[in-house]
Amino acid sequence: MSQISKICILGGGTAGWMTAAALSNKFKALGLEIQLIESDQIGTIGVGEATLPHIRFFNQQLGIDERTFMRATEATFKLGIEFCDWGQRGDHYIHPFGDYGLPTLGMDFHQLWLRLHQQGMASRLDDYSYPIIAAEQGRFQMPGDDHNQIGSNFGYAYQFDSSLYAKFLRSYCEAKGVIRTEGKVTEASQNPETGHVERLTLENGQQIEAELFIDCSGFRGILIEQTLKAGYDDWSHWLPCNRAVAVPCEARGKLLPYTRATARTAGWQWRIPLQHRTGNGHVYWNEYISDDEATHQLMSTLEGPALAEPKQLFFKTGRRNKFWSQNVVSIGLSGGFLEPLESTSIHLIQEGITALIELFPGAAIDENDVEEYNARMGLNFERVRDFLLLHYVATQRDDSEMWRYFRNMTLPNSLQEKISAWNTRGYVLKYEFGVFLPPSWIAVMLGQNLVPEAYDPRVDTYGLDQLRSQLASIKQDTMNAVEATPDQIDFLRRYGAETQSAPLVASPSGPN
Amino acid sequence: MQRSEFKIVVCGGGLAGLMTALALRGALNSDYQITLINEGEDGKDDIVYGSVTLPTAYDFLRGLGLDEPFLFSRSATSFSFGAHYVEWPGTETDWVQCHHEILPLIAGIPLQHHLTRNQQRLAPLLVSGVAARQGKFAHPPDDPSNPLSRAEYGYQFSVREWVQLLAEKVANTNVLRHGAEITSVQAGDSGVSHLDLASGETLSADLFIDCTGPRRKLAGAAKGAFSVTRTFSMAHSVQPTSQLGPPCRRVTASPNGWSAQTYLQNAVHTLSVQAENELADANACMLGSSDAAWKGNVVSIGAAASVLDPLTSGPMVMLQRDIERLLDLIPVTRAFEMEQREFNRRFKDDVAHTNMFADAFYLNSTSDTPFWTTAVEAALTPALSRKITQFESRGVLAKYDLEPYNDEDWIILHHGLGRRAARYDLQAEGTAKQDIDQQLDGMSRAIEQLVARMPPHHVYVSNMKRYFEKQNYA
Repeated sequence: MSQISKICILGGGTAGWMTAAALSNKFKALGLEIQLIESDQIGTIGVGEATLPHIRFFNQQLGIDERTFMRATEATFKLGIEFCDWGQRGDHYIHPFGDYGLPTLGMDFHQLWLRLHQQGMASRLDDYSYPIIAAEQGRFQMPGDDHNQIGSNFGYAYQFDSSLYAKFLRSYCEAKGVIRTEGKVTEASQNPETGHVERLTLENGQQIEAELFIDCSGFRGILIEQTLKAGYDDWSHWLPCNRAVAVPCEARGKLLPYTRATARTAGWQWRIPLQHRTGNGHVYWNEYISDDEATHQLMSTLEGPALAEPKQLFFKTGRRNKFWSQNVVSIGLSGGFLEPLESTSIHLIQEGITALIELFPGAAIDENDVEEYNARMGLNFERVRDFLLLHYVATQRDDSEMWRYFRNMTLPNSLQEKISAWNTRGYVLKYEFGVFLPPSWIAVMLGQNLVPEAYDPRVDTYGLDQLRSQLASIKQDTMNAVEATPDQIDFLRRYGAETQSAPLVASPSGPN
Repeated sequence: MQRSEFKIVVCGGGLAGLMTALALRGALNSDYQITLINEGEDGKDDIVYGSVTLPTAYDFLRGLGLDEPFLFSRSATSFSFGAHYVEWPGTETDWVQCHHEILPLIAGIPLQHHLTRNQQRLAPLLVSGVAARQGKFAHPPDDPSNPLSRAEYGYQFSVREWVQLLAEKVANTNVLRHGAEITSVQAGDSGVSHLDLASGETLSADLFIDCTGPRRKLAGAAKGAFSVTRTFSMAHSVQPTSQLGPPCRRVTASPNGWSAQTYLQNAVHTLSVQAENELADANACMLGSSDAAWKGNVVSIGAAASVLDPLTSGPMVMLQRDIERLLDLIPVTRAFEMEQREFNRRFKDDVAHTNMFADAFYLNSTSDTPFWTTAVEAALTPALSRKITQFESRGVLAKYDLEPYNDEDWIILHHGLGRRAARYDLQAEGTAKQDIDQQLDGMSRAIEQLVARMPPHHVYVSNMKRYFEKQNYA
């Protein structure tokens, strides 16, 4: 079967190198020539230092050794995300990577819990979640093989330095024959008849031709937007935060296997513990807070001295109308942006790559592939959007303009129904395609004080004593399993994933 | 829960009513009072449900007490590895639309891409299909090294028999039963207030379940609208036999319709479908679905909510989903707007997805008779087009949330109808063609050898029944 033979990836951030790695691995046997253009002068955003469990499968497919990867990227393990001050000030809960409890009596576990909770006979739902309890205590171990066992029924992801990850993938790619070209694109030439991008011209005059271009040029969308004008669906009315300021600082305290997202008056702040430092950032809506004030809030709440000057980022939430247009596929920020509240940035890159591989062009671009790709990615983005928005609207906060804005918002119908079904009876509207499954929705809704008025009446066919003893033993097993779990730092050491680099320390003269 | 008992009245003593009443009784405690009104139905109107189930019916039926020892010793139920489509329009070969577990990846690439590249057939690689063609059956074992472990099965059954068995099961519960005709349904703005029975009794309830089939006695009174998509005539006949036939239904196309033969332990049941008014003693059958299956305090289940094409297991799939959806959303208070909205949302999806699969069988027809042209027209929805286009384009399976028919069902159907993908996954080029040929050859030979050793369906069933008897199971 004939096939395209040349592809060009524009941009060398996380998106660019992840795409190059996956394509060079999948199509290495087929003589596909892969070029990647990046410029050292253009900084990368380094989206999301925190990931979702799916990234493990991405790395596994590439044949990457986990320990090598973790050492190279200063990675830590991640069991979930802690949300502070979201439902009300002073609240906190962890959204874990794993189910609550165990499959019990053929019922959804949370329904059994809801009944006991109404009777005042249950402890918090978190106590039946191994990843939550282990995270709270800073412990980690690998899940076992039996997913029906407490201590094994969870997933994990990583927190890492995404610029180191890009660097790590770059050497992987170059070993697989990906050609890296240093330079800035000055012109994209299109075929006058088809409109396809044919050739990129660099500052030094070098020309690069390809049959398929992957636009990983970030927010600017050099090919997908500046050249092809694919259009952008602005979601600012739902997710209005439009700026961020980020800064690393010295690590303090116990190395925690989870990310923290703390709600603020005009946005939220992240804390991501890596092995050698802690990543921090403040995402905010500039309508209700000045850049200076946002930066001040961030700098005044760091756990240790800053390691650099704070870096300012600008964005607009939304998605490209066409992720794939003509012979250009946008992957990463060029395709759309959703704030990193649930670590979905790298995940959406991965979804884009997976779909592209399944729908990879043959001899020419086939409009059917383009349509299918756009349909799948559109659904992915929309479902993530609803889940992110849930955090802002499932809340009792009204202490600032931003929170009052969300109070008065008309929600997308899909989200409104989900919340009302939960509030009525703990019912979770299910879908098959989308990254966040029922346990994630349950974690956030319950964590932000949406306690259902009723539970599934089918639970009442079981006796209270039976339920109490079943849940009590699950809780005990959870505690025992956590008890037998080492501290993350000890596990990293024993596992061989600890880095050799010393923790970063701020220079005495202040950040440079 | 609520302070006083929540009353649910199920109307209709046919397949839908009995299954619903049993399922409700099993799932709910005594806070819920379940009443069943049987208007003297005996299942003869229930031919709209067809005569086959999908493998997914297994757990559902067991939950109702219809396990295999009971079904096989108390009725003429038999096994179904699928359905054999013969002389079907738009394809030159006949095929078995068989039930099969997830198809294997070869070198990490879905099987269908290798088939396209190597121009190989799918049929010899499907153990359930090969066995069905030869009239063989055995239960799929757990051992994954045995090719038969990848087979799945449903049942061929007689609705009238199942109605009798279910009535027995209901009689053994504390479901309150009324055997009388419903003479009038009193309905207002908020739904049905009460029913008058021929016995002189009057029944009120918090929730009414309409299982009166196409008569839609309650839904109609509550002004529920029903949209008809297609009309045809249906006839049903029974031919007694002394020996059980193959473990698969046989469906044959005719110039103006089709007919399906179902092989039960004691008889062959034939269901014939023709364009309207072509069959002398036929029932007119209006395919379609309610605009909202839950209206006010009336929930329609089964044929009262949707009448689907009995060409596939669709009607039984839908009935099961209707009941499961109802169980998921049994009201917890006397206000149930949320339950109603969610029920109707899922209902709409289920109807669309179930229809889509049956519709896909008609698409290739070029016949210009009324039956086939109407069927093709009704089938042409954008959702189905996407599936067909994507498969024909490159063997990709376009999917929607929570469809009842899985990837394998669709791949088998596409191949059966002679659809081939124009392209395949390029990664298949990373393998040597002859290695794959060899591997596929090995798979089909292993299946052939295994099927040769399997017993005929009738032998297997009589041995199994003897075993059940010895164990005193039923």
